[in-house]
Amino acid sequence: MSTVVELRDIHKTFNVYRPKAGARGLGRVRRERMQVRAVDGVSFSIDRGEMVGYVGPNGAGKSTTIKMLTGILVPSSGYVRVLDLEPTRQRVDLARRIGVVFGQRTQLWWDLPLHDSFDLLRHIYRVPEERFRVNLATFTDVLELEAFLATPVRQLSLGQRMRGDLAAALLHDPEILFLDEPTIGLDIVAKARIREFLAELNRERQTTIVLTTHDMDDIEQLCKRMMIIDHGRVIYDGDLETVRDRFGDESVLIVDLIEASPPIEVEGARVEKVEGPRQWLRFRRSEVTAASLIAAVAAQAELRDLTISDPDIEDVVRRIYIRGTGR
Amino acid sequence: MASTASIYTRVAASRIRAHFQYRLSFVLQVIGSFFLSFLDFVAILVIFHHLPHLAGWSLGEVAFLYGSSAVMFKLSDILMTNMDRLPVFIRMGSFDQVLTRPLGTLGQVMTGDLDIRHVGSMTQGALVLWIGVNRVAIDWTPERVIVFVAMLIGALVIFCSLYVATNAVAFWTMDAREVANSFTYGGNFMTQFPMHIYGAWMRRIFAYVIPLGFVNYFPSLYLLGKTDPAGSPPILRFMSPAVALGLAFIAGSVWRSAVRHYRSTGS
Repeated sequence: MSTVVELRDIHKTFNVYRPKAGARGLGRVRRERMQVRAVDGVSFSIDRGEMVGYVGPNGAGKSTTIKMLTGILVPSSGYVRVLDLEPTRQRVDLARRIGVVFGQRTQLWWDLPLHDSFDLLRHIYRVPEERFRVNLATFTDVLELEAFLATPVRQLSLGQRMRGDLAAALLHDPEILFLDEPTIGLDIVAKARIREFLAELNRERQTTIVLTTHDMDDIEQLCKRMMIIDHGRVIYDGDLETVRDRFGDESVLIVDLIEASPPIEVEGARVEKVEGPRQWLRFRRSEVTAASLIAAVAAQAELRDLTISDPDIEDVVRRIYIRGTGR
Repeated sequence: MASTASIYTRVAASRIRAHFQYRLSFVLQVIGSFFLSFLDFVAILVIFHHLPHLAGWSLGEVAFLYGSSAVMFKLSDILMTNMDRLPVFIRMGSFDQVLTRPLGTLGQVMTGDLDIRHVGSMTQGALVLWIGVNRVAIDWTPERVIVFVAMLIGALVIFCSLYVATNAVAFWTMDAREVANSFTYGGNFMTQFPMHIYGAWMRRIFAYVIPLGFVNYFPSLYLLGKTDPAGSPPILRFMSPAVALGLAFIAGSVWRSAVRHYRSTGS
């Protein structure tokens, strides 16, 4: 498998100015310069055909990393290669071979019908006419664009616009697609449609996809590999299952008893909440198995029903942030 | 290269078409821009109503001077429509988009919008120039035709360069429109009068620092057969193309370093 993205010890430092502490009146004009390390020593590589989720809290350095990979920002130090090109110096060559979608802005012309935007992009990216026709037909079909191809972009709903933006970023058959928050602000139906499309794109065309997101469902449904970044550092890089095992081994057993009773005391679990006959017991799977726990509970009280809730990935990631666990 | 130019032309054409979407509003605004800019020239007519000459120049000669600058300034105003929005581009992150496309940054910003409504005031400039040409008796030798055409092209290049260089400051300061406007709109205003009416230090600035004198005044001295009462070197009359090229080079460098600054700071 060939490597399409390679980062080695990438740093990005910004100068931030803020008023000098305690300054009053004219003193406010004086500013203090602070260095903020937005990305602080990130290394990873991505192989062709991978689908990678890049997650982290606001300000963790996700967008900054994407911007360095797409040639928008120049790293302060370190080594970056995307498709064997140096993004900063070979920006134009790279731009022809990658697609970039920023969820919060559009690269379409707001006053042009969607179709006209596509046509302009065809010329900007020098897409051969035949290729353009085939791609446009495919994307129109899969993303269901037909109904609003003739509508000016400013009149599109957010979901429609996002579908248009995705098609726009893919008309020139990019080898890598970078997505910054592709599902932000979309409703459930629109989100599902976008995810389905991305999964298919990755499967059918082997397009490498790198996406940043806040929405753990995006990761759960799309990405085998997840990178968690916090304070400018990659604190986890691996598959989704491992993250759950490693950081999310706490589950909750919910029992409905025949009648209300005081909190059950069993080894390896603690009662989190009691609500009438229903009790919530949190336990670590590494310490006690669900089966033995259920047996222990059943020995103390009569059960009507029970459920086990696994930690959702969002919960897991939140805990990782809080812990700030390194490798 | 030719192909890149055709891409820009296509994008620019689509921007122009977009302005035609609301036809009535477009027509009204063109007419409005035509008459509004006429008021500008009325100020000069008022002066000549009281005086037969302005610092030794007749109405026809001043009309020639005014028109040659105005028509090219308004054209540069159309070409540089988006320069005015650069601070917004930077703030909203639209400039990131520009960097993800396989085209040059300056070309993309310029073709991002073209406010074609300014053809109204451009027409006004052309009309005044035409009146000026007809009122002064220029002997159109081939040399004069060449100097005249070179003057107009030079004026366009000088104004465009001023737009680029002064607006690029926005990459460092976030918003510098007022400063930029004082150079562009202010510069255009200064070129409406024979340069020798200004004080000595201002004349020197316009000749050697912000070379507005080369927009129209120096070549017009040659075309109209006038002498500069301030006694500027006669060679300056033929320097417009060189000055325009030099200024374009400086503007290009400022733009490049502005973009470099953006790409290292992200704002």
